[in-house]
Amino acid sequence: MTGAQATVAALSTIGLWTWLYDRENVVFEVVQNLYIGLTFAYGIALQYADYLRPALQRLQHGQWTILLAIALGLMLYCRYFKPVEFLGRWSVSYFVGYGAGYVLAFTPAVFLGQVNGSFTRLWGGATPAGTLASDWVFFLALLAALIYFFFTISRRNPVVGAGVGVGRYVIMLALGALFGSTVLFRYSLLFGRVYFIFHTWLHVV
Amino acid sequence: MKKEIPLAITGLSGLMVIVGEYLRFAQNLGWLTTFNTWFQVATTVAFPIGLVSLTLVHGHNIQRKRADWGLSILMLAATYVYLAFDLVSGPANGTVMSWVYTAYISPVAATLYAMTSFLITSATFRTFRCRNREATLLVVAALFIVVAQSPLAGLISHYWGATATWIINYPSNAAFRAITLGAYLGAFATAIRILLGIERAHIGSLAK
Amino acid sequence: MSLSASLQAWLAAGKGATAAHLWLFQPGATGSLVAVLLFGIVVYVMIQRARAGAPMRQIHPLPGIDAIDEAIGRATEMGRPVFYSSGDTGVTDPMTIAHYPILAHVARRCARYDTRLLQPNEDPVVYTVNDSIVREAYLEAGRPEAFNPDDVWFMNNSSGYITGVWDLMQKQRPAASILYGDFYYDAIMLVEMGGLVGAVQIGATAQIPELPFFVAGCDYALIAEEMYAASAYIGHEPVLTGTVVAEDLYKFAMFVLIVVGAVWLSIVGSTPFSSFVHF
Repeated sequence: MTGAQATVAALSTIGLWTWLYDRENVVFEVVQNLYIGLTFAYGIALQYADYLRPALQRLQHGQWTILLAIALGLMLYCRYFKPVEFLGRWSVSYFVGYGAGYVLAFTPAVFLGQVNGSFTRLWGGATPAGTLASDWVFFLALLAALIYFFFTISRRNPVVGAGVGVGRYVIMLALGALFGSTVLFRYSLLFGRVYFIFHTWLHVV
Repeated sequence: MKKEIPLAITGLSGLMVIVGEYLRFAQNLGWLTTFNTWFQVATTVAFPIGLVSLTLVHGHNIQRKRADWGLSILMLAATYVYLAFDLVSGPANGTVMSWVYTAYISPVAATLYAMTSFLITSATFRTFRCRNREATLLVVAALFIVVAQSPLAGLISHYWGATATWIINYPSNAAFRAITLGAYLGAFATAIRILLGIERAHIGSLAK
Repeated sequence: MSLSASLQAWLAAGKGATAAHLWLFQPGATGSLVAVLLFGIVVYVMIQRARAGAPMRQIHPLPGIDAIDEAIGRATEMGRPVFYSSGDTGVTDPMTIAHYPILAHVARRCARYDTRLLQPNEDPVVYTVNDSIVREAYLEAGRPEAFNPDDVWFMNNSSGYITGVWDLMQKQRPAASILYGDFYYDAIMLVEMGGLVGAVQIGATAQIPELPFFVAGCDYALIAEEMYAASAYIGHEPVLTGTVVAEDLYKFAMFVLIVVGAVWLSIVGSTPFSSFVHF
């Protein structure tokens, strides 16, 4: 990073932080509007360089099928033209269908892996008693949390009701633990930015 | 046919990916790679539609002299000028694209991420309201883990850290496993509903 | 590679395949295909039952969804807008797919009550879908003229979205904020900003790292699978409800499998399921 870049970076960092002092100030508004414009332009240019330019090169090599993909993308713009507005829906249908297919094609393997990883040894083997007790906690907590996610079984049934109750507590405990783990990590990021201002830019530490 | 064609496209495009992944002949023919490339290219071509929307909305702001119309000019100017530079020069080192990225985009993104720490602090205080027993448990667990990760835990008891690790490894892990399994099933069901044309909000009024 | 060459390569590769795969299925992915097909069959059967008018179990109340009407009502009374975000990701994300019926519901209510709906987007393609959904909702409510095309727009494809939303919330001060989809580190920022302007907040995501912020910061939260079941709950439509019943049946089978697997593992020391996963 050059000195000029460090200055721009530091000023933009401070500009963004002004939001903490006054949530409606012009410095923040300028920084954020510039940021919105620049990041989007960067995104378009990067996608063009990474995907579209190679695709256009394929066309030059006679791979005409890529035209279909380009057409599917272009059809989305038809939504702005009333007579051919329906073509925009064809395009959206393609994107949504691909997404649904993607879920069914690529996530079941992870799902099965998770099921497989849920099998816990409840007795026997050379497992120490302490670990076995913990494994029982895992097993019962898992079952209770699963019961919480049954949507069409009556919760008036005492077994289901108890399972749901325990499951809800287990889920809250887990979310609390995750909340706590995240807090300190995010603070370390803040210290990183403060260090940038005082070390990289101002050279005072 | 107005309704059937979009639904058929939805079903077929999903089926293409499924066949491409699971059937041996499709894998050998490289269909999946082809379908993925098509999707990437189609997405890339569709991506600038955001620019159309951005231009329309901020164009209206400027045209009607709504509040902050000056900022709309600034944003549109930044977008178009930087885009022009980027498309001409590309992302190579030493170009305007990479200079602005290093000096502005990357630091602002890092600062934004870092700012979550301030918001987490205020979120934690709001969570302290402990609206009910479940929320109280969430707060207690969060505080327990925060203390466990600080030097304070060692001063209180050496069991503190071990207990925190146990909570994360056993009950917490079990809850996240259940959440994940449920989420996958929910995602599968949603995907099947879409492919069968039962859930069709994406095609708008034709769905009726 | 030409088609005939590809077919020959396939036939040659097939010679080494196990008989179980019958040359047809991709080794290593067949277990997943079986799992999907089984799920698909259960869903299909339940759909057929629902279509035949068989009695369908009801989905238990989801307070996060019930609260949507209340939140919009509050916004209407206060004369302030409703903010709705569908998350950070694109159309391929199931969480994004799950939000469409919810947005349609929110937009219909807003149209009916003449409440302004602010719906900035982070993905250009999702923006086009959301725009169509909101437009149609106003049309259905018989108030197409009330739809303001500038209120559903593409804002930014990255963290610029957060700064934009901060600014928007500060200036428009929505009375209700509905966050429904796949969120990343911006979740806490959106939730806190909504809290600062005093909005009633409803959050739904299956993105585990962000769930604590939704549960802690929002007035109502839908956790993971709940967000997928909501579309069936919201419309009380038998066919959609049937798919949720199918989900529950499959989940019950999984529940039993986990118990049997644990017992099996304790007795035998290993389970055959891992072979199935990689079959």
